Amino acid sequence: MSLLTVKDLCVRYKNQIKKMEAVREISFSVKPGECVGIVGESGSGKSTAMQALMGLLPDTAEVSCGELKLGEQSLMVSAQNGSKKDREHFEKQMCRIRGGEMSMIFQNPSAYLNPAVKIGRQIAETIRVHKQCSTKEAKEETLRLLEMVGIRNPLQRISQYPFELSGGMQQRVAIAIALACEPKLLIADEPTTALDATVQKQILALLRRIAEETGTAMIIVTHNLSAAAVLCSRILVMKAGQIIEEGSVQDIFRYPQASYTKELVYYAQELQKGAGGQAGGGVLLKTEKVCKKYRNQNFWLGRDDQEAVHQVSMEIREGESFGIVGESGSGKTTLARLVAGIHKPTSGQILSRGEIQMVFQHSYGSFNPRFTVEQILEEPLIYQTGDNREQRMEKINKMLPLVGINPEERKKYPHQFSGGQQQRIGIARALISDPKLVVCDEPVSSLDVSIQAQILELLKEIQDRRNLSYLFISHDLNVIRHMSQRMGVMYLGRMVESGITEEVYEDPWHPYTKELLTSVLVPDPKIAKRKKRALIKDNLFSEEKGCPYYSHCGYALECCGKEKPEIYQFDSRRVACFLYSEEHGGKRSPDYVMTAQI
Amino acid sequence: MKIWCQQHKLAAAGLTGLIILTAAAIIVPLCSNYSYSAQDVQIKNLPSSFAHLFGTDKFGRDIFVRVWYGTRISLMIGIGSAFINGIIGILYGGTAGFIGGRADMLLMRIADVISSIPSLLYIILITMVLGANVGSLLLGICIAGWISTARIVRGEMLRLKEMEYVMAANLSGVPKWIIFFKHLLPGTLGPVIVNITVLIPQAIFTEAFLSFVGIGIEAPMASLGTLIQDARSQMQLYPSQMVYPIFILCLLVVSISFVGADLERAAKSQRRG
Repeated sequence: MSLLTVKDLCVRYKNQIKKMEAVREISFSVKPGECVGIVGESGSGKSTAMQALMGLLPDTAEVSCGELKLGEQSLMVSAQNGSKKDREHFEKQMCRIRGGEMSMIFQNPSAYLNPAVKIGRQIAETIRVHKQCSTKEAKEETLRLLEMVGIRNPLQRISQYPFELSGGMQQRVAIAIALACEPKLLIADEPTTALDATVQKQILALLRRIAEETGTAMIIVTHNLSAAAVLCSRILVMKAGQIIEEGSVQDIFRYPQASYTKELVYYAQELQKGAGGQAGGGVLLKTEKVCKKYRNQNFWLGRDDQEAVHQVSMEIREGESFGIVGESGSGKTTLARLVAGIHKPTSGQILSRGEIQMVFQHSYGSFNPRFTVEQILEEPLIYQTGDNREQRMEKINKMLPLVGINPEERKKYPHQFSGGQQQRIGIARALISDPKLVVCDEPVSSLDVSIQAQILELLKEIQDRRNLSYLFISHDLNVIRHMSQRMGVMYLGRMVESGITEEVYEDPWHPYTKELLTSVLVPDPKIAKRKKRALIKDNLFSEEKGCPYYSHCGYALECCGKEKPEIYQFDSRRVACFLYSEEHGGKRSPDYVMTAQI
Repeated sequence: MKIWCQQHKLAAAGLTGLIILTAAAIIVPLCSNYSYSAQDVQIKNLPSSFAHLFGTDKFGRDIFVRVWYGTRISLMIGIGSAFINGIIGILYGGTAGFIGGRADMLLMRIADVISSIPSLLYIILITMVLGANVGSLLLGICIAGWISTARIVRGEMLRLKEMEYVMAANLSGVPKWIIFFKHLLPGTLGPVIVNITVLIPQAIFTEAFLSFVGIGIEAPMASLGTLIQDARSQMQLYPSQMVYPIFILCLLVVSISFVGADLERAAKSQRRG
């Protein structure tokens, strides 16, 4: 007996010009208490299919379905295109089902929660719509739900507005709303994509706990195979609106059948491999205690400086990739811009030999939409070289095939290319003026997994060919491991640990690095399920004095809350933590070999 | 062409109206046998006829010629002021937004001060000193008319300045002034053009209003405002003398507004992607 049965679900988008088929005859079923993952790249129709089930698609969508059964009752999804009466009937039915029996979590909780309503009221509202109960009962239920999704001090939290909560907290509230009426089925559409690595792991663990405790069936829609591996027992792989493969998690990972699934699994596992290679060149770029403060000057409140980057020292050698990893708000993008010379440091200095160029995260936003590819690539040449037009065209014609773009397409505008191709053009622009160092600021995080792998390979290939150095910035630990020989970990504007990538991964020294590494998603269902649950913690604001990680740290000493740790260096490893200081670890003989203290 | 007209019905209607009105405003005063100023007591207050399509006024002047002559002045003031306001506004707002910081604050506060002075006051002064003609009216309208454009351009500039393609251009070594003219200004044009299509009817109305209260275009020159004012004294006897200029004025403003509305829609859908 299955909870949800879908047969031949189709979604077509009507447009004035043409019809587009987003979902083509997909059929699947979900058993009670089962966790099903739907994996596919952007545009594969996975979200559209889920929205069709919930009846959330706009009028321009044409939905048809052979059979759709939720428990005992069948839903007439196709009625939303029918006559007015049909539609009204359908809406009435769905109003009861949405939230009551089937609910949904979306990717971006800050857009999903109403910014002007306190979270307690938002949860209670849902409860009171579906259940006959008093305000007081609804409040008690709200508190219970918040506790269930792992929010401490729920009594305090219910009178807060969404913007007062961190992204992970907001997603927890969204989950609480979805669970408010004990639905039989929970659809999560990319529930962790917008969240940081550590938080992502926590939310996934939370969803798993909820599935186990309440027996709610779940459909997890994601582009990340590893995230699906953590949660699901069965996976459906979607491509171009169709389900191309279906199987248990083990089968999908061990014996993928369809070539597309093989590719997905291969890329995910490929990313796990380290970068390898040792760079022995001279120092190309050196930063010394670089700080960047943003000045918020307000007439009424006076000055309020925010320090985005605090005393970061690092060096990048010729031909090597230096990776920087950190959560959002850790100052890694600011550091990238400081290195690239877009911003000037408030104090400290950056010394570099040779030109520095940059590859941006959203390559489309880094192109003037009014320029053709040719104009985009020509611009750096005009202002940085004395080449005449013919020489410039020759360079462009040479550069485009190198990044895998047909030179005949150079008269096109950037929006006529796909996301991966746009990133290739972005790389071409960075390379065309022949820089020594390229700063890559999250170059693949907005791309699909298969395209990510291609872009990373391209970057590696170019590095080998041109002896380039990269400063590689990413929130994705797998990407950093795959790309960089040395790496730094940033936390709230400080570089808390840096060293050789393999060593840091094998043996993290700083408590934060350790937590970050335990939150890596592994594309292997066995390991993923065995891994310990990440601790659920409140996001407290860091103390003004003391170590920024003090409030989260499991190894905090008394001094950690009072002063800031300096950076202690041991060979290639640098760590900003009192555990490694002489004052607190005792005097050491000169030939003492430091090891991890945690 | 046919598809374009179907997709942009408003703009097509507005443009057609505007072209006909402009053509008439240029051709009619050139080709007509009557001048806008020649008076003839014999034929005063005639109703419409083949000789005088809109009839004649109380001095025996042909209203048809006078109306088109007035349309000519309206168009000159409308388009002229849009042109001048557009250029000043784009450069002023663009500079303020591009430089930012203290200069931005100073420039925009100056603009606030200028826009807070009642315009009627200095327009009367200007027409007194320079004489009541198209030039002085243009000057009067343009003293504060550019401010709304400047504000829009400044806002757009602040937004575009933070775009990554500007950073990329910086990294490519593009000089600042080229970034300003090549990367930033073209990006602000969408909303500015929409704003200017609002400014044109506004200027036309201002001129008509000033002429109506008697501080605009000087007699015997005809503007749509003076025509309405002239006809007001005998409104109850000869209402048609008033209806014709009002009708043309409405047609003119509505045509331009149609074009503007369509442009705005296009700009919005473009922003949405």
